[in-house]
Amino acid sequence: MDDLSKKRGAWGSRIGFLITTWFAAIGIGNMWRFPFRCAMNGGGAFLVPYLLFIITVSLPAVTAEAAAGKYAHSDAVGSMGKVGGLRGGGVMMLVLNLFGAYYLVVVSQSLYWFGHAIKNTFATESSESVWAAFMDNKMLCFGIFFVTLILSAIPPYFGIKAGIERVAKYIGGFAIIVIAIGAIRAITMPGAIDGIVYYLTPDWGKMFTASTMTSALSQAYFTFGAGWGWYLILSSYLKKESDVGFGHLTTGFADTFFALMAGFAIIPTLFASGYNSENIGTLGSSTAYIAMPKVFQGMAGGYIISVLFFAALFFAAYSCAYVLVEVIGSFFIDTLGMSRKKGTIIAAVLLLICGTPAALSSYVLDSLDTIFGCYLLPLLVTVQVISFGYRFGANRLRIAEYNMYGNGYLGKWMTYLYLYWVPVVNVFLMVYFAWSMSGEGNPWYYGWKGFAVILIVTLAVVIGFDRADRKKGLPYDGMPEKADS
Amino acid sequence: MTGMTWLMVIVVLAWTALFLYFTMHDLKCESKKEEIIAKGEELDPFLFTGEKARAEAREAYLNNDKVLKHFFEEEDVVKFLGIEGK
Repeated sequence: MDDLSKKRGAWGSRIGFLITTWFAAIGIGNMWRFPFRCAMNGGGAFLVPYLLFIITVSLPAVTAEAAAGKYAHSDAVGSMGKVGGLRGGGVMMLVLNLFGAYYLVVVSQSLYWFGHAIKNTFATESSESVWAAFMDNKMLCFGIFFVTLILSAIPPYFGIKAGIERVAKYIGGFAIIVIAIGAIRAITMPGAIDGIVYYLTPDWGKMFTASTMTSALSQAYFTFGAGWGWYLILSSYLKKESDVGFGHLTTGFADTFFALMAGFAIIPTLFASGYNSENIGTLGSSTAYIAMPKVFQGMAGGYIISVLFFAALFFAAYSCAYVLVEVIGSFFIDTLGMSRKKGTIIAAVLLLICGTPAALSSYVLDSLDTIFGCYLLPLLVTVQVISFGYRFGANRLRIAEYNMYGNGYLGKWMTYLYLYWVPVVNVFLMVYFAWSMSGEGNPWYYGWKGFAVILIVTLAVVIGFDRADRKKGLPYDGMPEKADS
Repeated sequence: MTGMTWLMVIVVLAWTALFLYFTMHDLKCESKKEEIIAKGEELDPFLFTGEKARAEAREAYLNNDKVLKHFFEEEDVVKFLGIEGK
C-alpha cells in the first residue's frame, strides 16, 4: 500500500468497492419507483429507451466523475481543483450533499417502517393510520431522522475498509438475496403472470411519447446519482493499479438488474393480491408504505416477507446515506487536514442542521428534492463536464485512467458521449423541468425563476473561486501538483 | 404471454447475463493483478486494455502532452509505453 493510501485509507477488496458503488447507484428510487414507472409508461417501451439512456448518459457521466476521483485522490473540492481547476464546482457539490440531508429523512421513513414491520404493527393497525400518526408527530419524525443520521455516520467514522466496505458487503449481499428470492417467489404465485405481462409487455404506441421519453431519461439520469460526487469520493480510495473505467459497466448493469428484480418482486405480488391493470395505476412512490403492508398481511408467511421487504428497502436507501456523509466528511479530512473521526462528526453535525427543516416539514423536503434534483444536479454534472471534459480533457482522462490499469479497453465513444451528449441532456432536463413546473399551483422557485437563482448562485461560486485562484497565482494548467500547491 | 412479453423477458435475462459477465471479468482481472503484485513482478498497466491503449498513451507521451507526460513519469509507467530506448 502506498503512502497516500495509508494516510487516506483504501478499499480492502474489489468486491467491497463494487458493492458499495452498486448500492450507491441503486438507492430507494430503483427499488420502488422504477417498477411503477416502467409498468405505467408502456413496459418494454419504457425499458428500451431507459437502457439506452443508462449506457449513453449515466455511464459516461459517472465514469468520468470516478476517474477524476482516482486521478486526484482527494475530496470533492480538491478533486475539482486538481483535475479541472474549478474548485467552486466542488464547493457546490458539498452544498448539494449538505442540503441533500433531506435524503436522510427519506431513509428515516424506511427505517421507521422496517421497525413497524418487525413489531408486526400492520396486523392490528392500518398502514394509513400508522403513516398519518408518524407524519403528525414532528418529534418522532425528528427522532427517527436523528437515529438515521447517527447510523449513517457510523461507517464513515470507522473508515473505508473497516466501516463503509464492511457494512456495504453485508447489507448489499442481504438486499440482493432478499430481492432475488422475492422475485422468484412472486413470479410463481397464482395470478402473477398477469403482473409480468403488465410489467414488461411493450406498448409501442407509448414509446415515442414525451411522457415516456422524459420519464425514462429522468429515471436513468437520477438513479445513478452522477453529480453528487459519490463516485468521485468512492473511487478516490482506489489503489493506483485498480480499474476505474471498465468496472463501472458493472455498476450500470447492477443498478438496472436490481431495479428489474425489484419489479419482478413487487408487480406480480400486487397482481397476485388482487390488483389489476386498472387500479395499480393509483399506486406510486408515496404509497410504498401504504399498499405493501396490506398485501403482505393477506399472504401466507406475510410477517417474514414484510420484515424482509422493508429491511431490503431500508438497506437500499441506507447504502446511499453513508456515502453522502463520507462526501462531506472527506472535505474536512483531505482539504482541512482533520482526522477521520473529527471530520465525520463535523459532517454529521452539519447534516443535522441542514436536514432538520426537512425532517419537520414534508413541504421543505419536497421543495429541496425538486429544486436540487431538477436544477442543481444537472448543473453540477455540466460543471463536471466543463471541468473534467473540456479543461482537463476527456481523452486525457480516458488514456490516463480508464485505460491505464483498466480491466478492458474503453474507446473514444465514451469521450464523445461525455463531451457532447451528456451536456445536451443536462440542458434539456433543466429547461424541460423549468418549463413544465412554471404553471399555476407551483411555488415560484419550482419554475424558471428557481432555475435562474440556482444558475446564478452556482456560476457565482464557480467563477468566484476560479478568480480567487487566479489572483493567488494558481492559473490552472492541468498539472496536479501546481493546482494543489 | 405474448411474443413481445417473451422478447422483453429475454432482454432482462440478457441484461442479467451481462451484469454477471462484467462482474466476473472485473473480479478476475483484479485478482490477476493482485497475484502479479504479490509475486513481486512488475504489473503492465495495459495488461487488460491491450495494445490500442498502449499506442494511445505512447502517442500522447511522444506528442509532448505535458499533463500526461508528467503523469506517466510520476506513475513510473514510461517503460511500458513501448518507446525504444526507454
